[in-house]
Amino acid sequence: MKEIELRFRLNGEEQRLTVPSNVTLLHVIREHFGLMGTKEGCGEGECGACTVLMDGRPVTSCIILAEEADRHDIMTVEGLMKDGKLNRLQQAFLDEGAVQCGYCIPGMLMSAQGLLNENPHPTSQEIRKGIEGNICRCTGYNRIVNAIHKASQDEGDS
Amino acid sequence: MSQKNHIGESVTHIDAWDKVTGSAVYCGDMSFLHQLYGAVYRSPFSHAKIITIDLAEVWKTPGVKAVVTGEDFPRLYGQYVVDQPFLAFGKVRFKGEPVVAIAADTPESAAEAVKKVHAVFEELPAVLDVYEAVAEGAPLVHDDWSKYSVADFIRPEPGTNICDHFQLSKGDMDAGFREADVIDEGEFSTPMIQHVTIETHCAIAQCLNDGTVNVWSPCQSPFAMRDQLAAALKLPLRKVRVIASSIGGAFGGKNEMRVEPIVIALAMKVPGKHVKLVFTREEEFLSSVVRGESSVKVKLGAKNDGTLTAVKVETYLDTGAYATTGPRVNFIAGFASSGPYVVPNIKVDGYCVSTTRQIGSSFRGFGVSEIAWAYESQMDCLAKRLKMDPLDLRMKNAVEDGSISATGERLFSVSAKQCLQAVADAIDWKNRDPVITPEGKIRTKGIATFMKPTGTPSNSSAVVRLNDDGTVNVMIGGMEMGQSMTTVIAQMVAHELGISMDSVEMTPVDTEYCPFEKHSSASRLTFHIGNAAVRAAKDVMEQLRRLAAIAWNVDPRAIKAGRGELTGPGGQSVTLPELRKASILRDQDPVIGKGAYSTSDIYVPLDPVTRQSARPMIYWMWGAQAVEIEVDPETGKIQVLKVAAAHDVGRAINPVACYQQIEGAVSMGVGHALIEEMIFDGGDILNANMVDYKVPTIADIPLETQVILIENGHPEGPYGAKGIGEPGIIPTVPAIGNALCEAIGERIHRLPMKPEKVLEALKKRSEHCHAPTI
Repeated sequence: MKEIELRFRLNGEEQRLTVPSNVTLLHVIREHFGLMGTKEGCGEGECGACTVLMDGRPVTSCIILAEEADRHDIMTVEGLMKDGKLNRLQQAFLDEGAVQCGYCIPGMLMSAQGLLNENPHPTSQEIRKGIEGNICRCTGYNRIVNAIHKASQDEGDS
Repeated sequence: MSQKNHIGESVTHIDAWDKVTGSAVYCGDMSFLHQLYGAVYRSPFSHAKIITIDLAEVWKTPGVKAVVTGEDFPRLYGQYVVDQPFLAFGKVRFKGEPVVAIAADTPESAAEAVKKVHAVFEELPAVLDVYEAVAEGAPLVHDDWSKYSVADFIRPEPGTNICDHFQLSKGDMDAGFREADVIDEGEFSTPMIQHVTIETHCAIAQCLNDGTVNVWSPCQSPFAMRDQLAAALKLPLRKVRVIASSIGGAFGGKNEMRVEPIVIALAMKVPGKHVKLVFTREEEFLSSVVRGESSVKVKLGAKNDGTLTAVKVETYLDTGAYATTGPRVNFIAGFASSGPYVVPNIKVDGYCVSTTRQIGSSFRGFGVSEIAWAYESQMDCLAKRLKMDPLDLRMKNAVEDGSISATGERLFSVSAKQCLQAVADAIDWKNRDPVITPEGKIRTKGIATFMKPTGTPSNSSAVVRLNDDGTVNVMIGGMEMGQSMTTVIAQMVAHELGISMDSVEMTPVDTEYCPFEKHSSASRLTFHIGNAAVRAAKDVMEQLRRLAAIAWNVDPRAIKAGRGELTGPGGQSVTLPELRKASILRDQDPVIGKGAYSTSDIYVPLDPVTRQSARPMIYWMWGAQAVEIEVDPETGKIQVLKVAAAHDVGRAINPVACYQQIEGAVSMGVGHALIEEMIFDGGDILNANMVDYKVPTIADIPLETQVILIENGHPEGPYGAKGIGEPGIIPTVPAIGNALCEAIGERIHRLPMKPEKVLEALKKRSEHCHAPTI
C-alpha cells in the first residue's frame, strides 16, 4: 500500500504523520493519536458515532480517508473542553439529562458543535435537522434537542 | 448538608462527565501490548454438516498466530440449555455461525486469513419458520434434547424442535368460553429485529498457563458469564475473571456470550497473549443475537357488558439455532399472557421453537412486548364487537389490589387503572373522534396497557467500604448500561450515610473482587441491588456504632445511629463527613459494610403444570400509554404526534432517570411499530447494515412524549421503588396499532406497520366498501 504524508491540525495542534493511503480518518484519530472518544458504530457513515469536525463542519470520519484531512483543521470530542472546563454543549448535555449509554454522545456533540458554528441560535427544527444523521438508541432524542437548544441560549464562548 | 435527602433527586448520571468528554472506556477502546486480533470464518449455510475444513492456506498467511475450529474445542455453553458450541462442530445451525476463528498480528492479516479457509459442507434442509419447525416430520435442529443439560423450568418436547413448551392454566377455559356472549380471536406476529446498540459486540481474552481465563467485555451480566464459562471450561469459578467495560447500549443484546467464546478459544491457543475481536455491524446482525419472530394467537371471551370470562393464548417464539434465554422469554411471556385483567379461566401454551436462524434471545420487554401487541390489539377488536369504548373495556377488567393474577397470586401495589386513567386524561381520550386535517390526513388516538413481572427468585449483593475521610467505595456486580443504575445506587448509599454524592465512588465491575449479582436484566437492579446496598450502608452505621462506643467508652446500645450520624449519651456526636476529625476509626477494625438480598424467601414454587403460585414474583410493573397519530392516506405514512406514558415506578429515586428510561423505550417502541425488521431471502439477511435496517432517527420519533410517573410504593422495594428499564417499550406498539385501526378501519396483524402495508389495508377497505351488493 502506498504511504502518504499528512499534515493537519488536530484539536489545535499541528500534526504530521505518514500512513497507508487507504486508512480512514477515524483510524488515524483512534489508532495513531489514541483519541478514543470518537467511536465507530457502523463503518459506513450511517450512524454518526464517528462524527468529527473538519474546518468546523461535521464529517463522518469512518468513511473519509485520512488523506482528505490533509491541511485541514480537525476537532474531536477531546477538543471541546477548554482550560479543564466543559464547553457549554457538554455542560448542557449533563444538565438536560441527554446522556445514557454515551456511545453516540461524542458524535452527537460534534454534530451539535458543527451546527452551532454555522448557526449559533438554531430553531428547534434546525436542531432536529442538524442531528438527523446521528443515531441514538437510548434517549429518544428530545433531551438532546433540549440540551443543544440550552447551549445555544447560553452566553459565553463556544 | 450531611442530612441531604438524595431520594427523589434528579442527580446527573455519575458517569455522564466521562461520556461527554470522550473519556469513558468501552471495550473497543482497550488495547494491550502485543495483542492479537481475531476474525471469524462463518457458515455459508443455514443448516449443514461440516465435512472437512482445510486450514493449510490459512496458516500460510503472514501474521497468523492461532487458528481454532469446533473440532479442536468441542465444548458447549448456555444459560438455560447447554447447547451452544464455542465454534460449530459436527454441523452448522445458522447462516453466519462461527466455524473457524483466527488470530493474527493485525486485523488485516486475520481478515485475509479468513478468506483462505476451505470448508466443505453437506447441506441439510433448513428450518426457517416456526410453523414449519413444529410441523410433523420437520428436520430437527437439535437431534436430542436429552443430551443437553436443561434448567428445571424448561420443558423440551422430545423428537421435535420445541425447545420449551410453557403451559399455564387457571379455572376452566372451556366453561369460560361457554359462559361468554361474545368470542373474538386473532393472530398477531412480529418480525425478527435486532437491538442495534451503537456499540457492536466486542471482547478481549487472555488465558494463562495456570488455567486462568481473563475476559474484558461490555457484558450485561458478568457473573452469569463467569458461571457459564467456568462450567463450559470445567474451571473453578475463581479461575474465570470477567472485567466489565462501559457498555455502549445493551437492551438485552449483551446478556449472552457472543464474541467471548471465540476470543477465549483463540486465547487458549496462545497462552499469555490478549486476543481482541470487535464485531462489524454486519456480524452484529448475522451472529450476535436478535429478538426472534413471534406469532401469538389470542382468543377472548366476554359477557355483553364486557366482563372477560376466558382467555386462550398460543404463542410461538422463534429462538433460532440455540436456546440462549429463549425458554426464559417464553416463561415470562407466558406469565403475562392474559394481560393486566381479571380473568377467571385461562389457558396458555407457549412454544419456544428452534429453527436454523439467528439466535433469538432477550430484548427489552422479554417476550411481554410481543404478547402485549397481541392481547392489547385483541382487546380493541373485542371492544369493537361489544360496541364499547376500549378504555371502558380495559377499566372494567383491569386488575387492582386484591385481584387474583393469572398465576394465582393475590396482587398488591397494583396501578393498572391509575395508569390507564392518567394517560386517558393526558391524551384527552374523551375527544377521540377521528379528525381529518386540512391536508387530508387522519388523526386518531389509541390506548394500551400491560403487566410485566421481573425475575424471581434471584439475588444481589453490595459492599460499602468506608474510608477514613468519610467517603465510600461501593462494589456491586450489576452493570450500568445507560440506565443510570449506578447513580441510583449511589444516591441510596449517600442517603443512608448522610454524605454527598461526591463522597460515593462506584467501583467498576470485576468478578475478581466485586460481590455477586445474578443478572442485569428484568428491570431488577434498582430494586434488588438497591435493597442490598441499603443493607450494606446500614451495616456501615452499625459497625461505626460499635467503634464509637469504644472511642467514647460507652455502651453501644446507648448510641443512637441515624442516617450518617451517631449520637452518644453524653452529647457526643459524629457525622460521616466529619469522621476524620472524630478519629473513631483510628487503628480500629476497618469498616466494610455488607448487604445481601434475595427473593428466595418470598418465592413460592410454581405448580409445574398449571403454574399457579401464591407468590411467583417479587414485583410486577404497571403502565399504560395512549397515543395520537396522523395517517396520510396518500402515502400510508404514520406520524406519531404524541405519546402519553404513565408508568408506576414505585418511587422515583431519580425522576430524570425514570423519564429517560421511558422516553427512550417509547422511541424504540415507535421503531418496532413502524420501521424495524430484518428482511430475509431464505436464510440470507438482506438488510444486515444500518442503511437498510432503519432504527428511529430524530425524524421518526413522536413529536411529543409526555411521561407521567406514578409512585405507588412497593412495600419490599428500597424506598418503595420498582423497576422501569423495560416497561416503556411494551404498550407503545399496540397503542399505535389501535390508533391506526381507528384511522383506517383495518387492522394490521404483523409488524412493522410500514406505509405499504397501510396502503394495502386502505385498498382492502375501499374494496369492501365498494363491493357490489348482490
